[in-house]
Amino acid sequence: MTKIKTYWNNIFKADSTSSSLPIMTLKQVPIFDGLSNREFNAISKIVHHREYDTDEFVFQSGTPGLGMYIILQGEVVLNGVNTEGKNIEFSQLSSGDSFGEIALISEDNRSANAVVNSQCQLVAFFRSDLLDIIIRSPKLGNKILLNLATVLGNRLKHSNKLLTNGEDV
Amino acid sequence: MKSSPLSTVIRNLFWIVPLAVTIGLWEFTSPILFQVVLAFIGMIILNPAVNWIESIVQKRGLSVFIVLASIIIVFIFILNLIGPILSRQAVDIQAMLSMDTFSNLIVKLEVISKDLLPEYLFLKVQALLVFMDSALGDIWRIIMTDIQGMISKAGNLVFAVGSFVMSLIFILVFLVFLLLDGQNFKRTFIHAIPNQYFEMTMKILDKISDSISAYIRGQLLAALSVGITSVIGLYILQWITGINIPYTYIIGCVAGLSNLIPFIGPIIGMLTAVIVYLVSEQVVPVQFIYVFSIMGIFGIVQLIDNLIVSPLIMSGSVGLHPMFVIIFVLVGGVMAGPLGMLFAVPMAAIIKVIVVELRWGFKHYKFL
Repeated sequence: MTKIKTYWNNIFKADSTSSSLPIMTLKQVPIFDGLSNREFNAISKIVHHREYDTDEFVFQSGTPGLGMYIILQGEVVLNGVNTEGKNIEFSQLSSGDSFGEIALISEDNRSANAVVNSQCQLVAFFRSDLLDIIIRSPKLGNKILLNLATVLGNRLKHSNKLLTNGEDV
Repeated sequence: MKSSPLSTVIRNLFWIVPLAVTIGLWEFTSPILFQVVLAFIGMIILNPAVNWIESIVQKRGLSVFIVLASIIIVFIFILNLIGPILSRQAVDIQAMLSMDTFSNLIVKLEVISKDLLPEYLFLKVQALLVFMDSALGDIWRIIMTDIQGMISKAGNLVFAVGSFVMSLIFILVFLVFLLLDGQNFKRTFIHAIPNQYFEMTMKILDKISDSISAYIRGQLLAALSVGITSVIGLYILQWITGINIPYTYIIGCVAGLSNLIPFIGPIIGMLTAVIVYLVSEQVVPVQFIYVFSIMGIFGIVQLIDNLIVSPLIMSGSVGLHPMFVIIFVLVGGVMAGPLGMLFAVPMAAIIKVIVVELRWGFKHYKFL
C-alpha cells in the first residue's frame, strides 16, 4: 500500500524538495521573525531550493539583483574589489545566515560576488515572490516588509557606528 | 550542483518530452493545445481579480471559485441578453453572403460612383464594372466559400475534442488548474535550470510574463472598447441620418477582433460596415456622403482608442514595422486562415518580447 502511495506521490507531487524544506532554518532568518506556522508553510512553498558546488558563484557583482538567499547548509563568501582595485573578502557566512536582502527592495545591480566555499544548500527568496505575497496576502507581506526595514535599519546603524569609530581612530 | 550537459538534459526532460510529443503528434495535440492557450489567456485576464479576492478571503481555492462563479453568472446573463440578437444576426449574415449580394453591391457602387465622379469617368467605371461582373463574381464566390470554410475550420480547431460544451468544460478545467497552480508550474521549470543561469532565467521569465500579460490585457481591453464604441457610433449614425446598417453587433465584434491587427485591422472593421451598408436594403437612397460618414465614425472610434483608451491601458506599443505587420498577417493567413491572420501579430509581438528580454538577460548577466 505504502509502495503504491509513494508511486503516485512521485507522479503528482511536482517538487518534493519544497514541501520538505526545513522550516526551522527559515525561522532563524530575521526577515521572517514573528510569522505563524501557517505563514511559514506558505513561504516554504514560494521559495526556491538550490544546491551549489564548491567555488560556484551564487551571483556576481554588477548583475541585476533579484532577491535574497538563506544558507541551509554550507558556507558562502561575499567578496569584491575595493576602490584601489584589490580583491577583498567582505564576510564569510554559514548555515542560518542570509545575504542579498537589499535586492528585495531595490533593482540595483549586485555590489559583491557571492561564492560558495563548500558544498552548499541555499534557499532563494525573490523580489517578485515578495511582491506576489504583498498583493495576495497583505498581512504577511507587511510583516516581512517591517522585518526587512528593521534588518536594513540595524545594518545602517552598524555602518554608522563603524564610520564613527573610524573617525575616532 | 554543477551539472554536466547530460544531467542538464535529464533534469529538463519533464518539459522536453511533452514538447516533443506535442510537436510529433501535432495533428492530434493542436486542438488541445489551443484550448490550453485559451485557458492561459483566461488566466492572464482573471489572475488580478483572483489575487484581489485572495487578499480578502486568504484562500486561493475559494477566491478562484468566487471569481469563476461570478464570471459564469455574468456570462450567462449577457448571453441571455444579447446572445439571441447575435446569433440571429450571424445566421442572417451567412444567408446574405450570396451572389445576389454581389450584384447588389455592384449596383450600389454604380450609384455612388455616379454621384462622385464626372460623367466621362463614371461611364468608364460603369463599363469596367459590367466587364468585370463575371470575373469579380467568380472571385467573390471563391472568397465566400473560403471564408465559410475557414470559419467552420476555426470552429473545428477549438472544438475538435467532443462537443462545444465538453470543450468549454475542458477550457474551464485548465483555467482552474492554471489559476490555482500557475506559480508552481513556473517553480518546477526554474528548478531544472542550472545554477549558472538560475537568476537570469528567473528575471527573464518575470519580465516576459509581465510584458505578455500587459500586452494581452491591453489588446483585449482595446478590442472591447473598439467593439463597443463602434456599435455606439453606428447606432448614433443611423439615428441621425436614417440610413440602415443591420448586423451592428456583428460589425462591432469584427471591428473589435480585427483591431488586434495593427494598421490593417481598423480598415477591416470599416470595410465590413461599408459593405454591409451597401448590400442591405435602404429607405434613404444610397449616397457617397453616408459611406463617408461610416468611415468618419470608424475614424472617431480609432481616435478614441488611440488617444484615450490605449494610453490608459497599455504600457506602450510593441513597435513592429508596418511592413512586417503585413508580412506576419499574410503568413498567418496562409498558415491558418482568418484565425492565423488574427493571431499572427500578437504572436509576433510575444516572440519579439521574448527575444528582447533574452538579449537583455544574456547581456546584463554577462553571458554576451
